Amino acid sequence: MDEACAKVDELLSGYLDRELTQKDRQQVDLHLESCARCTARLREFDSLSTSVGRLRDEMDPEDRERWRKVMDNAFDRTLRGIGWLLLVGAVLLLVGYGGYEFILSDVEPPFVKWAVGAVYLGLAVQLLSVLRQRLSASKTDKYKDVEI
Amino acid sequence: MRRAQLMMQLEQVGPSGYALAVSLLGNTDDAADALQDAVATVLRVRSYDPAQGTFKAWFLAVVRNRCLDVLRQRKRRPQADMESAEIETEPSEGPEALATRDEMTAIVKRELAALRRPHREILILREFLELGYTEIAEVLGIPPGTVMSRLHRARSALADRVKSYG
Repeated sequence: MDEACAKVDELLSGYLDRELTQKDRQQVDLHLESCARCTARLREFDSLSTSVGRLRDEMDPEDRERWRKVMDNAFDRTLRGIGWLLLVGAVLLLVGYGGYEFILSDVEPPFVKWAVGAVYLGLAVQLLSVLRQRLSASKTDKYKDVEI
Repeated sequence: MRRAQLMMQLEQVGPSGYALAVSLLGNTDDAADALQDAVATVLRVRSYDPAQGTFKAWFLAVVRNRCLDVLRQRKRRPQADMESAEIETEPSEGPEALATRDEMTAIVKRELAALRRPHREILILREFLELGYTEIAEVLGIPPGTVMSRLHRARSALADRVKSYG
């Protein structure tokens, strides 16, 4: 391949895709008029381009529709996430408010307050312990990515 | 971007995202998972900025990043994924079957799947999804000037492989 062909060869993709500047396009046009080798190369690229484009038409109809199911699942997953967020937020708010009212209340005797406080604390410790265990397992579990 | 508008845009670019994911991951199950993750991310984050380019290019970049994560995970656990890492190239398709179908298209399909990932993805973006060079640069995160040279190398690589069939 001589120097002129090598230079034009690098521009053939841009020429085929109509992405060259007018100056470069004219340069390629001029070269192609007198170079059978580069013209054949351009035809080769064009033919490959058509064949890859044709794969789109060959796409399985089931695959064409599959993405829609995927999108619906993603929408559902996001909605589910929002639902959980609302639920957990509301429960924490109510529990917090109940605890606050309970502490300030003068009706219950002190030992009941201590007992209920201990129940709250116990639940919190259990929750933190489970979370810690899960976190540690997720880092070391070699089967975590295996789908059942 | 408002949610309804976002969902409408996703409806339009969804098939392109799926096609890109299939071509990068080589099988439809992993592609579906990657696309689902990408759509969930887009719905959650909504950080698209029109000043940075088209929505399609931005979404395809999100899908591509998710696919690259999956490919990295495969590298970390090669044994578990050996089967799924195989590119679906219709291995049962013998010479007779090739002859009955459009032979050239069948060969191109097989050789496209066997190309190196950077070459395969840029050809899919250009020929299959018909993106312009600016959009391809946005998806791949490379300078627009690099697109033409990479595309040229990809086409040359594919042409060399197809030529070997005689």
